[in-house]
Amino acid sequence: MIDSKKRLHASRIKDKLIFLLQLVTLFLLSVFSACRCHPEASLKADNTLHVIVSSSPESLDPRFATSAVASHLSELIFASLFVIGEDLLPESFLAKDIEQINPVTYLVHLRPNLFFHDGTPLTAEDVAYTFSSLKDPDVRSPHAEKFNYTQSVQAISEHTIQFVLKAPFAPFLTDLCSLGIVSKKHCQNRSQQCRHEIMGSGPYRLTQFDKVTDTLILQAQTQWFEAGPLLPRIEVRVVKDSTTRLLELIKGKADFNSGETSPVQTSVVQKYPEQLILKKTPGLGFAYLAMNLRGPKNTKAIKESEEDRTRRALTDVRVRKALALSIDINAILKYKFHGMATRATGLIPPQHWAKSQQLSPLLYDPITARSLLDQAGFTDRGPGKGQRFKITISTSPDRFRQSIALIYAQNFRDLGIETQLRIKDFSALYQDIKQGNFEIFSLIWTPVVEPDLFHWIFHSSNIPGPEKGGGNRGAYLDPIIDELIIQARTSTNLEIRKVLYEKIEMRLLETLPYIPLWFEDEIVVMNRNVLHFTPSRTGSLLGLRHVKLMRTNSKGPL
Amino acid sequence: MNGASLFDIIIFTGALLILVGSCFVQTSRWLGRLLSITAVLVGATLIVTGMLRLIPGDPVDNILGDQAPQEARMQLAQDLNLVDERGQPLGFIAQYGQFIRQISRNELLSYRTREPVLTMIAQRLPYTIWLAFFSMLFALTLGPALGIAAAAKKGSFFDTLLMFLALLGISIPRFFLGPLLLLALSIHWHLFPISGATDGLWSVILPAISLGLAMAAMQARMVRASVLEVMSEDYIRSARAKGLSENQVYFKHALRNALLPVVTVIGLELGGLFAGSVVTEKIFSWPGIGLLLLESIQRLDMPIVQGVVLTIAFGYVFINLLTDLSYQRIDPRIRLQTTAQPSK
Amino acid sequence: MEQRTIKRFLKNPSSLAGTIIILCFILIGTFGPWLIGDQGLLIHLDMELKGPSAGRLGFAENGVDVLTSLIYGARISLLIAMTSTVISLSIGIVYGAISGFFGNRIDAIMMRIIDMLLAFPGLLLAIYIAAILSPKTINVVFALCATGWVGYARVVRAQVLSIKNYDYVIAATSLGAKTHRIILIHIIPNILGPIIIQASFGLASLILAEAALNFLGLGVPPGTPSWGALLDQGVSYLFIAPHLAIFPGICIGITVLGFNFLGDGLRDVFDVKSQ
Repeated sequence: MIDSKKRLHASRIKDKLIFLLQLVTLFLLSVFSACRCHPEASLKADNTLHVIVSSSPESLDPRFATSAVASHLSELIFASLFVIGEDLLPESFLAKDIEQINPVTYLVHLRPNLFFHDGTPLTAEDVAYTFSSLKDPDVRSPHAEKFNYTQSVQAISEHTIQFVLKAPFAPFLTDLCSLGIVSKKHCQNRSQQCRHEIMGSGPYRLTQFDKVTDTLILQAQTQWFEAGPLLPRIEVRVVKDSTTRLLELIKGKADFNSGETSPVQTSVVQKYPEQLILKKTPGLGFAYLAMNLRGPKNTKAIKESEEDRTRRALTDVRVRKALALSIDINAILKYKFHGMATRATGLIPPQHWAKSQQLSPLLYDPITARSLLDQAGFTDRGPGKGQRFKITISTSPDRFRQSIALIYAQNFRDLGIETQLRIKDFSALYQDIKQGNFEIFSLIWTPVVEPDLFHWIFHSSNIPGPEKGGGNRGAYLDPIIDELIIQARTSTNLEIRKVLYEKIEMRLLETLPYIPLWFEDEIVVMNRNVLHFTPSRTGSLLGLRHVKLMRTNSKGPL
Repeated sequence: MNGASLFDIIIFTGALLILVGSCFVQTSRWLGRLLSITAVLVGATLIVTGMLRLIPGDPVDNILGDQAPQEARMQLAQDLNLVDERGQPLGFIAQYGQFIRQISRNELLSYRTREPVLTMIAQRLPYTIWLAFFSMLFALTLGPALGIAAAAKKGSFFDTLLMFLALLGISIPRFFLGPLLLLALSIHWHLFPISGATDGLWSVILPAISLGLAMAAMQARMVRASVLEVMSEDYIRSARAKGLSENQVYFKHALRNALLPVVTVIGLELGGLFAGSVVTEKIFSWPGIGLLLLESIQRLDMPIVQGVVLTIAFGYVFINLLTDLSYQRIDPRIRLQTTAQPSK
Repeated sequence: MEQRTIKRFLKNPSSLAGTIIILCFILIGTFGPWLIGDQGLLIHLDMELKGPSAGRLGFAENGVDVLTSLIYGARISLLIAMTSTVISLSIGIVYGAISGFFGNRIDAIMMRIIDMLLAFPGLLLAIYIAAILSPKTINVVFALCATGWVGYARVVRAQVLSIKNYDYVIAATSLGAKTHRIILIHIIPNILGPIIIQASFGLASLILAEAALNFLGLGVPPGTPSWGALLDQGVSYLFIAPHLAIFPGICIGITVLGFNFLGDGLRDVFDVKSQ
């Protein structure tokens, strides 16, 4: 009796187990078929350069690329008329040369035998189209206002384009370096499709862009004008985490890391001296602390609000100077950047043609800073009462930036200023800043090539308003600076401009709308088998086209 | 009704009817079971949308921070269906109705990229399933084995040690275990890839272990208890009395029954794995929906956050239903007893 | 009766170990910050990410002292976990008692609400709420309580359901005692055991959850010393400063282990009593 029952029980269990097995198999099958996890072999002895970047390019069309990654990648696919040389002056690229007929008229001569990636010839018509489409409201380019100073852009022969400006404008040449040429035939009247169907004019042709795995494949263009061979193939992969980017290199799964490498992490590179090499060059990114100079919102209130007290404090140059003196910038450069940054005295980078040697940086001096605050009338009201005043530092969630913001916060607290951080995702932060919704923030202007950037950042006409954008986000208003900037941009003589920029920088150091911090080095970490690459000061990746790969068949250490 | 169209009202009333109706049916019946599952799903959507209003303060202010620019606020408010296209505030009924319509037509768009949220989730989901599957595999192999071994040696030093380790396994947070494994096995000994999902099977091992260990520990404790309980049952005694060897008793009779409870918790545990994968995916940069959730939170992309949270909740409820049903097939005794209530 | 329970409690190795660990944790969290001072929380750039040395556990980002951060972190963890438990417990007891005592339709509806909350496994709902709220300590408590009370409510309800048919409760009802008096005087004191066990396990999971939220960057504001945030740094600097991941991890592990030990022990103690 018991026995038969048990057997029955056992057979039932068998049934159930079979059913379970079926269930598991079904699940397994669905998982295997659904999963995209395809194993990736480590680098073979191929001729492909494996590059990692830190974020996915939002667009590769030069008219829509805004982030650094997107514009650097776009440069490989879309060639511009000129490029920035190592002396930070324009060099010819698609254009053979440029002649200035009168202060407002320029003729640009294209090289002969230029081709787009589909084999159609690149002519003056395409150049003219590129510039006019930028302004086309249907195209909706974020750079639409960039060439607002041009009156007309016309193709006057197959290889010649005439630019007429509204007024003399010195930075024009540098601006020509920043816009890749698109095909008129490919893009006209279909600007939105054109944005996604990339067909370029540069040394590399985009053959694949997988948005799920965030991988781009670039092939060398066969009809490229430069002599000498191009590196045949580049594979670009997006790796968001900075530690992971380094690891990919250590593992030998990538050759070249162009993404941001925080200085602390460079010590990892030294642990693999046979495999990795770190190259750096003084960068052109100007790091600064900007303050909101708009003043109190409500000046008539009987009792001043804490927010307005802060806003009033920031309009006082003594307060701004006190803040500047409170930060031990040299210590930050030493310990946070490990020397991989240069102290800044102003917007113009060291070794720039317009840089003055006369300027000396403000040195760390908390005692003077405190007395400056006392002089300005912001005495300490004691803890819990807001102390001298309250301030909020806006910063992005990036770990390294956040840690530096914490240093400012402590420095300000040491002065007796109640400080807190406001962490926002970069795009949200950027929106706030553009609208003037901040008290103090730190960002980087990059790359500073053309000193006329002063106009965008400090000229009173560029204070952003509800209707218009502008780079003068702290609302700095100084007639002397306005005058100097205009003089400098309308003069085409480099010597005169240099003197004027020196005056501007002097004045800015006295009035301190920005606290100048430093220029961070451009750091590139790459495999030792990547030869002939020197990092560009602008962070450009165009140098990759001349790279040679030395592949051995042996595997990496991992 | 504050901008609610007839359609919105129908959707909302339907949701309410399902909710109320489900309270008045017997969950042991098929129809009742179906209704109560639907009610839980409807409830999940209500919570995800309603939480925006339940939390004190203006949700848009909370998410974007004070002093956010007007366009950004407007855009987010529209994306969250708090206002309509013209900026008029919407009531909860309209908000809920719109949300359901958008998500069912895959028209819920990312705040940043304007891509359909469900499409983005579908691209990343296989990675999370893959990870959860392997951690499950790991837990279901290791856990019961250790539990059985501990029960076999009940009271010995080995048993005490194993049970202590199991408690440790439950107590060690996943976000500590992950870095520890990385430090030892990837950085120090170079055995495994550090992160990402680009090395196929090889790269899933560490994340799977760090995600699955707590579950393995839990399984070990449970199986041990269950084996010990079964061993005292009558049929085991009679098997012994029949003169079967200790091994035969153990493997033929005790285990089969002792392992049944393992199946019941698979569903619950799998849900835990999905939720826990948020942390694990962050540590190992594993490109699943957990990482998508975190990235979206950082980018303040609330529609994606809502989408991912709902996806996990739906998956959890469905898996629970599946395990419930399969358990009933395995053990008919409980067919009429249990309800479909998941527990923690 | 009371004394016997205490005796059993002290004899149980599990609960004893748990109690000792938790007492240490509470002592450190309460008095540690006074003893060590807040100097270590300040930035000392020259010490950034330096490894452990004699008597010190090394330094974190910006040269913040790890030991000091851990001690202050213990206080914050403790505060958040305790506050959340008290709030969750109060909500849970009231909710569970009402649901269990009245039964029928009210019970069905109230349980359906709990089912809905349980559709979000683990930390998911807390993560969602934390994503809607700004990073503030009080908001962490809010996010944790939003799901924390459910466990208590279920335990209380189950207990109330079994107790309410006991003779003394029925007697009290028939004598015309008011409902809230019956719940407060007759039912609650008799279900304390299971609640205490649940609270012990609950605290373990709250410590974990709080650390997880901070680890994910959804918890306390940056610059606040916390175990989870320190561990997050540790993961970013795993190559350069592994001590950053290890010490906070050990702290979290031991504390959670302590509460789990206590819970296991208490379960044994009360189980014996019920037999």
